[in-house]
Amino acid sequence: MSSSFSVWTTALLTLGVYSFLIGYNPVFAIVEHLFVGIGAGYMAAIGLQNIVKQGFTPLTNGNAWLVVPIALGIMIYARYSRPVAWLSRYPIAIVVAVGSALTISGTIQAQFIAQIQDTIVPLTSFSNIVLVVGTATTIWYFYFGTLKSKAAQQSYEWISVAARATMMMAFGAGYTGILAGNIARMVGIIRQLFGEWLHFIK
Amino acid sequence: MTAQPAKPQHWRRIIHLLVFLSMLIPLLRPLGIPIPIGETSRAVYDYIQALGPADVLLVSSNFSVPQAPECLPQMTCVTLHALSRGAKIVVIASSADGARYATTVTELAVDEGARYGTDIVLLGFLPGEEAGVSAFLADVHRTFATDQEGTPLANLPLMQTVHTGSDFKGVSVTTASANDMDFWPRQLQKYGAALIMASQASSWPKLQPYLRSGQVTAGLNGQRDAAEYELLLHRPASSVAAMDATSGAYLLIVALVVASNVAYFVFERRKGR
Repeated sequence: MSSSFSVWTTALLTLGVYSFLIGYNPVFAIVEHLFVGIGAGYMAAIGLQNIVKQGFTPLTNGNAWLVVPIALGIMIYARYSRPVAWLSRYPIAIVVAVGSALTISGTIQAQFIAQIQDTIVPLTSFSNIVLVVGTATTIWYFYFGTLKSKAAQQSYEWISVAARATMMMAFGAGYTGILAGNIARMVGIIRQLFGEWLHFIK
Repeated sequence: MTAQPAKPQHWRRIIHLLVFLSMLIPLLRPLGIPIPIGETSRAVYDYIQALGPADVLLVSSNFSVPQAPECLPQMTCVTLHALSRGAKIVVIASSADGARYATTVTELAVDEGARYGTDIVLLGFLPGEEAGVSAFLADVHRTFATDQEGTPLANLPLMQTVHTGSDFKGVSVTTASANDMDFWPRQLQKYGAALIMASQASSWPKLQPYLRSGQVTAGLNGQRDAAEYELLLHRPASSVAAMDATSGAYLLIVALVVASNVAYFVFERRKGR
């Protein structure tokens, strides 16, 4: 068994989290609060370090223009005081505008043209057929799937079926990935408990 | 007196226990299930293998504690492999949580013989997600005046050769965020650097369109590809050790899915009668 304080702390906190399996209990509550507290503290420390490193230090070294982003950052906190709350709209508007501009300019090539180009492929392999049919039917399902006429709905029923099958396959693949991730996590925890802590695993 | 069927919550606990045992037993007594090398890990390996001493690779981390068992080995393998080829590494983290793993990997590289400042530099946390990455690629020195420890970039020899995104031969992003998969191709496209993305298994489907279109050169999928990469490097570590347990759990889950479906159809038929 390990004699390391950090290994013992990790192991006991892990067991505390898993105690939830027998129901919500005081040990779990302590670990839960610790986790939230430490997480918030860590994020606050990183954020503060970042402001000092990328804001105040260069500012004191003569980069006077940094007054503008620092002032905009402080203006966000105006939300907490009703009379000056309107001030917070300016930094938020700038963040949204810059974010949109950055996204839109690159999206046209990266997410539209390149992706559409890659979907226009010859139907010479099973994989290409699945790609083209799956993409086309799924787009159809969302854009034209709500036809008002009953007759039209029935005529295109096969497209809806193909689209739903494609989506189910995609969701299935996503679920498998989530499962794989959770298993990897659990294996890591078991190795930590039975390996680093109890030394049962070599 | 007839036996009472187990209550649903009891079944749930039995399944929890079975899943736990399916992972624990292979860890205690390894089964040695072979791990064949797949195309995806081979593609990343081949790309890194082709790097040389004149190339600089940007390594970015954006994952947290829960994703570390999958993502940390991926990032470690790519970084150490690139260093072994003589390539230079600049490490950043595009999330606060990722910063600790960027530090871990940099320290490991230095422990393995990489010279800090010449072979590898840790710039640290880059806030702002897409806006931050965009600013960084446009002007590295304006975004980071110092490295993570506060050393001015002017004092780090490696950073004299890196000014914009065009100075990177490639970018390796290890991420648990689906946003990264959208904005890295978007922001990197004008600089011409190759993009390697390593992700947790749950984000892998999201990466597929970019891999297919070639916008992402190659990618690593979860623990499985990390294990394959460890084998390609002849450095079996945590991912290889975990694969038997992972396979044990997969087998059990497949068996449970089959059993549940059989039970469903059998009971539904009985109900129908």
